[in-house]
Amino acid sequence: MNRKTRLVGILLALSAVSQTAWVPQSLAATQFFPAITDAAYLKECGSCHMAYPPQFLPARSWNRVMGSLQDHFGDSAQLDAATQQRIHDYLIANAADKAQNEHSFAIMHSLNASEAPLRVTATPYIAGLHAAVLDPAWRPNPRPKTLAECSVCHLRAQLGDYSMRKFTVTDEAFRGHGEL
Amino acid sequence: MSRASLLGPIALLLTLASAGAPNAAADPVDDLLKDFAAQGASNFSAQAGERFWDHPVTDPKSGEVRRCSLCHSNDLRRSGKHATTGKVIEPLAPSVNPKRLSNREDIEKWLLRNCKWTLGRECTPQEKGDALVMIRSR
Repeated sequence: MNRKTRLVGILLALSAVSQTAWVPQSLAATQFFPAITDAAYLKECGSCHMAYPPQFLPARSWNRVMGSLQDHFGDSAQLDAATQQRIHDYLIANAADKAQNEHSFAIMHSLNASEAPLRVTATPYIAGLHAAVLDPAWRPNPRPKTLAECSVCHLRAQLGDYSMRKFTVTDEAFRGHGEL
Repeated sequence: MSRASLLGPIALLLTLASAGAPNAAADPVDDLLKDFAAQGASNFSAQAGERFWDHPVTDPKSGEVRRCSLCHSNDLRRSGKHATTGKVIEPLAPSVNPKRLSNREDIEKWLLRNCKWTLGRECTPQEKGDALVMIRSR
């Protein structure tokens, strides 16, 4: 391949990429999420579960979550109107649609435009990465009941860093998978 | 000035000081108990609160047996665990966690939310008062 065709190839690839919706706008795109500092979000949402980075779900999902707080996964998460609006605004402003984050791009790419999952773990990208965690056949360790508390395995999740994780499946279970 | 004549001004100062301070640090639990009494509740007791705390209620949808201690544990000086998410819940007892029972809005918010989940309904003023008196005593 000569220099010219390579250049054309790169330009074609770039133009193809730029047509998709969620592409890094700069090299600042990162695998880390900014630390969560919104006091209302931390207090009202972070009391019962980890305050998830808003960059994990598209705005259309946060609209659904914030519109159904009366029945929040079977629990009442009712808020006064002002607090609810403030948290809603914060989530929308930082949602995955706009985030310059590689996980956010992957999450958005894994969703159809019509899909607005209520759970981070119901997005195909996150669900796929965690398929083994809840499957006893893999003898995972730790073995959380749900995926709600990221920090059980992602030790630095509170800081917005999901790259470090403490999670294993036994080799034995790995080899025997399907025959167990 | 005799000792007796000093007592007057000192007493006056003390009265002023104590009249000024409580407004800033009015006990939100006392406030709420007054409101609950105005709604017809009476004779709040820690014993009744304790019985209420451990009273099992079967959730009709899931079949789960729920009670306050499920998430908050029976020993309020210890931390509990959220029944669904597993997140640690800091101790409720003000003796080990002074932030508890210090803010009226927070108390009302949690009573509303948690009664709905645990009992499937809002708590009565009597139940809320008994529970608060019990928590405050821990």
